Amino acid sequence: MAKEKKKILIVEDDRFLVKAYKIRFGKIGFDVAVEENGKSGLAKAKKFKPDLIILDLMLPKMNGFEFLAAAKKDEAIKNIPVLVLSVLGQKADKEKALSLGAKDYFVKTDYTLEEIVKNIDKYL
Amino acid sequence: MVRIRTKLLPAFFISILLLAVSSFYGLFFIDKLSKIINENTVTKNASDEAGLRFGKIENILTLYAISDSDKLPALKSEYDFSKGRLDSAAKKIKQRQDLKEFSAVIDKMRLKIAEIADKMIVARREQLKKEGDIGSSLAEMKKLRYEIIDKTARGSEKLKLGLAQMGYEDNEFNFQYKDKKHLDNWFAGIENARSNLEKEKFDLVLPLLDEYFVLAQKVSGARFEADDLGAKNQYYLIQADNILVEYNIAASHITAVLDKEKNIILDDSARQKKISLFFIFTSFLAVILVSIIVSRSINAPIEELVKVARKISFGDLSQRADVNSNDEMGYLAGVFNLMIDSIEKSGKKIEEEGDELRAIISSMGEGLLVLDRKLNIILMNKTAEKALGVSLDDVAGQHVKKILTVFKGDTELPLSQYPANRMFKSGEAVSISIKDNYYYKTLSGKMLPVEIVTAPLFKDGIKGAIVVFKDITDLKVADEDREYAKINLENALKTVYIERDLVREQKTKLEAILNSIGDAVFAVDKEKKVILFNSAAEKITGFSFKDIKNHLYSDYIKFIDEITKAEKNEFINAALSGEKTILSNHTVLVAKDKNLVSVDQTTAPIRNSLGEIIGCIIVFRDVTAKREVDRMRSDFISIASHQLRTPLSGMKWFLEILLNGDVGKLNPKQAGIIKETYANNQNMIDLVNKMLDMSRIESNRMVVNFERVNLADMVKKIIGEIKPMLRQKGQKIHFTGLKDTDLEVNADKILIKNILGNLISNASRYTPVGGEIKVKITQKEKNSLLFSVKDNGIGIPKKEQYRIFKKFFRATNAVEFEANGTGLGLYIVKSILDIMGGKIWFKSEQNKGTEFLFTLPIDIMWCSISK
Repeated sequence: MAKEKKKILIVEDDRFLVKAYKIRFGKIGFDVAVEENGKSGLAKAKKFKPDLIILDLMLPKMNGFEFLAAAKKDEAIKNIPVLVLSVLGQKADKEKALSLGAKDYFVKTDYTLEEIVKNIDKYL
Repeated sequence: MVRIRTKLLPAFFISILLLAVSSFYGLFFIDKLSKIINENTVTKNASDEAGLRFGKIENILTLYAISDSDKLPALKSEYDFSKGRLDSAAKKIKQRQDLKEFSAVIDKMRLKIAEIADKMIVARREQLKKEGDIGSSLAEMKKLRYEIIDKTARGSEKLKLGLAQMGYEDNEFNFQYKDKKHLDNWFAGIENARSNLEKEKFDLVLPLLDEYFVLAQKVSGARFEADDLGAKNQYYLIQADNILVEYNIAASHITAVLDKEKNIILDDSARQKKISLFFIFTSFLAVILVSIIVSRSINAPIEELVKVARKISFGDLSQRADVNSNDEMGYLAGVFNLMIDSIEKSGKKIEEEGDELRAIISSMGEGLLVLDRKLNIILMNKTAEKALGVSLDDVAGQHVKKILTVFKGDTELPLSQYPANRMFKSGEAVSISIKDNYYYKTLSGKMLPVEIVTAPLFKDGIKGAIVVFKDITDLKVADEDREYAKINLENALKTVYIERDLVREQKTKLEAILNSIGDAVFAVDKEKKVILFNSAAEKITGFSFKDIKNHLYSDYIKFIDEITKAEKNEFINAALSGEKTILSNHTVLVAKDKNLVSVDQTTAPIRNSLGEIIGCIIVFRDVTAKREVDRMRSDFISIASHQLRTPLSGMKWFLEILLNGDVGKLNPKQAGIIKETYANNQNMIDLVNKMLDMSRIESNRMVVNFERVNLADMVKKIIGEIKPMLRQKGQKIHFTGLKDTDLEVNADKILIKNILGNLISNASRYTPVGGEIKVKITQKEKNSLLFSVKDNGIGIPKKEQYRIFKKFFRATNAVEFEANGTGLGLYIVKSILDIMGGKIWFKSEQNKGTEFLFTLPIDIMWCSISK
């Protein structure tokens, strides 16, 4: 199906995973931007103005929670839906992320890329 | 204090008599009496009245006392003058000026007119006087008076009318009517008097007549005759009409009325007689009344006393005389009552003493026998009856030998040697003690060892004997026992010494062992004082046995809870009451240097050979290092697991990409290898998840989060997520039981998902393709759910069933059937259920299938955080 060029910002520091994202999302036809730490991710979000952000939690310089807190306060980007993809499986982590404004939370090992794409579509 | 005022009847009758006598005296000297009375009362009143009226009449009469009849023309001119004033006044009314002033003027005028009119009447009467007609002069006077007054009245009526037209009321003119009324009344009185006189109502008439005749006397010019009826009292005889009135000047009242021939028609004596009769009558009445009252007040108390005395004689001591008067009768009654009181009291006292005595006799521990001089039984108390096995009713009056025989040792005593007879002979009390070795042989043949005391019963000499005996069976036995006990004790003591030496030997051996083992051992006695403390204990705590021996352990060794820091002492209490406890959670020892040492400990009671608890023993171990290691291991697992997920998810997705053909199509062989790699990777992900769960459970960080959920929906959702996996193996799953209810439970969705997920995936994994899995939920009790996950798979071999919940354990047939598996699933499920308060068990037969059952409490109020 033809997709209009939706912009997705991925904030993730593991290059292996980023590559996988790029292959899959690129195939679908999203315009993908990648940042590897929270700080640059924020800056990019403001400039790039994505339609959706995929956010890892364990990031250098500024972790995912801090990113969410900062994004919430920023008028320019606070309305962009953020999906958290993390290795942390505890309920407490999920609740914290959601309370900080994340739209949804996925544990990486529990979801295939296909499933992740389905969820992206949901929130776009 | 009693007031003595005699009410005795005779005395009273005498006083009555005196009274009667004095009244008769009064009768005979009536005028003296009447004088006293009259002067003091009637006379005073009458003369006051007469005086008053006389005064009034006097005033009027002065008006009449004008003798100068030549003044008539002068009077007339005065009258005209006044009339003229009245007319001008009337004019003023028409001009409506100060009417009050005007009415005052009117009053004055009318008085003046009345005055003048009177003068005119007098003048006229003077004329008439010369003609000598007194009776008619009165009538005339009356007539004239009325004429003037009428005229004045009519005139003033006119005025009144006129003023009324201007708005004035009657009462302005009342005074005028008062005068008229007064005169009317006076004349009416006179008329009345005349008629009453005819009817002989003398006493009513007199006051008025007095007036009348005084007036008449003055008016008529005092035609009278002096009376010769006693020079002391001066009388006037006044003639008026056809009667003569005798008037006492001094007393100023009429004393008699006579006819023309001087015959008495009415006289005062009648009145006086009436008065004295009245007094006699009333005094008679008084006498009767008083005597009635007096007799009652004397008789009544006497009757009361008699009544009470009679009742008392019949035995009713509760009665008392009810006489409360403040006199001799009252006093008598009071004394009478006191007498009854004391009789009653002493009666009661005697009764009480009798009761007391009876009570003492019946309750005394010794037997009491009362015998007469011939040794017949008079009295026996309960103790004696019991000891001798007889009853007083049966044996009263019989000889004492009928109930007992006296023995000394084995020898029976002759009667003369009986203590009672010896007492009679000597005259003094006889006492037999335990040393004398006396016995009473009872009717039943029982030999009762006794101590006896017998004393004489005095009543005009020695009438009998009082025997008190005591059963000393116990004392005798005790005596013998004492001897035996002494011997036994000596023997026992010898044994003890021997054993003590043995024990000493053993103790030394024990100490050696204790000191060599690595665990700390200490023991306390029942009072929790330290009685044992090995070297390991010394090392760990920092205290030496020497320092704390025989002291209360808690003064030195403190066990506290790791988290709450509260002192823990119940385990020692529990052990001392017989429980064996193991405490391993969160117990920390506070050493001498205040360091905290984590310990695991076991406590157990120490019992002696009789099984009684004499203390408890505590074995503990320093596990600080172990706990630290455990924690580190847990944390390590956590961190490692999380870190492992990153590459695992990377691999998962890349493999997915490959399989999807996103980077080029795969040939079937390649695809097969990739699929297998994917499956293996998934196993690793699975393992990592389970290890995370395990580390959480083991480090007690698993938290149960309750929320109210619809049970059926929750389970359906869980099954829904697992279904795809089952479909791959062509397996079916059925949900039965509470699947369509609205039942809401307090549950942790994630944990239940974990449990059910594990069980169902196990069921799927260990069941061949096309198999069937059944999930059933029922409500077991009011607050418990029973879950069942049943498969028709490979089952669990009986020999290995006992290990099924152990960590990492996989049954041999399971490993054969499915290479992949962590061996952690059931361990985790059981651990979770342990935390949630549920239970898990299973039924399985190899090659037939397995059913796992578990219960979950769903009570709303129940909740527990990590143990």
